[in-house]
Amino acid sequence: MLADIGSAIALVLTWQALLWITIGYSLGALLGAIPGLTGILGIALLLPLSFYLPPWVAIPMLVAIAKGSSFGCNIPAILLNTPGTPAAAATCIDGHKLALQGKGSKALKVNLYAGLCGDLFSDIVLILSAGLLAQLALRFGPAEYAAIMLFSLTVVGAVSTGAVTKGIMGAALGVLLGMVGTDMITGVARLDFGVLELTGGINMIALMIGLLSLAEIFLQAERLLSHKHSDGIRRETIPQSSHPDDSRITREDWPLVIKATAIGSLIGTAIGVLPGIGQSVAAFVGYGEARRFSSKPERFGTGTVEGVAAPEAAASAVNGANMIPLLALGIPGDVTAAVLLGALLIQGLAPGPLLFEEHRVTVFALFAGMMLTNLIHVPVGLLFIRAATFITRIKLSHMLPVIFILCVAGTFALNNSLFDVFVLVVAGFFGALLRKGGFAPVTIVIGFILGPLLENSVRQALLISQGRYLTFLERPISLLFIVLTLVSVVGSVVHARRANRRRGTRAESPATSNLQ
Amino acid sequence: MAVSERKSAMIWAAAWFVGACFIYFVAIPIGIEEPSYATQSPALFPRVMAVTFGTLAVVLFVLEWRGFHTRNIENISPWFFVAPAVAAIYALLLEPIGFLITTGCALAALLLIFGERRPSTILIVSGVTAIGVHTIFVYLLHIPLP
Repeated sequence: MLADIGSAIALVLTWQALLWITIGYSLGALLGAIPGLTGILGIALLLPLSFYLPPWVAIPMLVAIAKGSSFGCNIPAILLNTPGTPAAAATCIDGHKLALQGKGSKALKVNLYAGLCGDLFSDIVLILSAGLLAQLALRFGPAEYAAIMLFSLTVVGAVSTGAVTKGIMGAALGVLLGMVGTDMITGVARLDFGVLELTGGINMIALMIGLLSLAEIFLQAERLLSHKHSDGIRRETIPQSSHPDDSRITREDWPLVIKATAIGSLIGTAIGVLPGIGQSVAAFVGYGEARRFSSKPERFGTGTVEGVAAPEAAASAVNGANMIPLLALGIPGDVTAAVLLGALLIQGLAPGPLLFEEHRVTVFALFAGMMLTNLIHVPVGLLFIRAATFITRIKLSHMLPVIFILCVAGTFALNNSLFDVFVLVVAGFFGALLRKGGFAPVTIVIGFILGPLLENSVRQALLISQGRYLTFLERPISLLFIVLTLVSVVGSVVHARRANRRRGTRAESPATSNLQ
Repeated sequence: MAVSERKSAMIWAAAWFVGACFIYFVAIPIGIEEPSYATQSPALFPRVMAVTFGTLAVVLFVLEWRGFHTRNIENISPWFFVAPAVAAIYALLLEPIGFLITTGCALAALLLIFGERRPSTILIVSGVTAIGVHTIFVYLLHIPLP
């Protein structure tokens, strides 16, 4: 065993492996930073090259692309409120607020180190207990998935600071939008009104970029045209604080970051082990749980380092944990893992229980390669942060139109479809309208991601149990998550009532005010 | 005419309620067929969401009517529609005219909207961005653009 591990490490510690993994990570970070482009594109670009590389270089290189993308997508999320992927939408909430306070560098560094810890934690769990966790994952059926999705929806309360009613409304609207397209169970068309492009549903990335990024651009345009600014100061560039504590993680920040990272890493690893859930769910659940366990939850949403660390740690932890069902059972957890499955088969490695027996040294080498990726994460990430802070020197009046074009090009690139561009523009318009009405569009994104997963799981569970709703209460794991959901909802209501009583938010009288 | 924040919020809540009713009574019956073979109606969850949305809209209306502020509402100025209009025209003209020219024009329009007045800056930013994005997507990433 030790000899096998030694052989594996010797295979990976070569200049060739280091070079290709660095290239993969950098490509992933670069693609992740452009809205609409994801690590999948990078994997697809380098997949043919992987034919000519040994498996202990090829597979870690492809995994490095995914990890790089997971980091890169948070750069525009933090600096420009433009998430590169749905998982980064959770980082936008507090990350962009920090950037607006001139603490963009701090937020990016928190993102970098939290991502590293999340990756490391899940890789170690993968190495130590892949087989055991894979067997546990097999116990999760549709009822358990439904309960987890229901629990995940409670994160809406966490991101709807001060307006939980509107948060739930936004989530309901998002769930409704997620139901557009062909019904997975019966095969009938739902709410597509005969539009062919809607048969497969609304494109998630187009909707998300529209609601979050384009809406922001439209609102900025309105403010500049009407010479109104929410902070009363004409902001030419993204604020850059000159105080040294605002560009680094201070001694006061570290305990908060460590706690949030630990929570996010655990959640991301647990969710990553279950096929089909993905980084975006992990990021939002990580955010919600970090807020729940925070000593000052009211700070979430105003620009707190915990709100950046938790979702990034959770999303990054999914990368390694996703490999558990893939390697142990041959079940890909998401699209990235599905492409990696193809890469493994090309290399002659058939995932499953026998993989660990027949290709022991190669599997250990894969693990070593994944750990090497984590070593590269920090120096390459710091270089990207240095390059990214250059963005803060560019005038917003120049940068926002360029971001708009990148959003359009990236959205078009998803399916070579102009319809997705129309979805992007319409979503941007409605996102801006919703923000005028006091809604947080991110709640729509949450509902859109989680709603269809919840509905399909509930309906599958009911089909299996022949219509018995009690099945959700009879299965112990499902019952556990339902109880956790109830506790979470009751806790949020109690907390909100206490906060309202302390603030005294009831209006004295319906005063007339002129907002013009 | 000045509209109080409370009245604005009540109008918004009423609009959401009307939207929920439209979804439940018009969009769902027209947009979802109910096959006879289905043991669970594919329209069930959409109806539940529409009812949830409508109920919460009523709750919002009542909260605002009774004086509980839910969140600040901003008024919509006529300038709100300018940037979305530019974006919509850009999306419509992308295919007939092509990416390079349409993008250059859209960038110029958006730069003017955002307050840039120097012709040289507008030309340089528009030209470099349009050509740069086109080059990266088409030649480096092999992703065709309109």
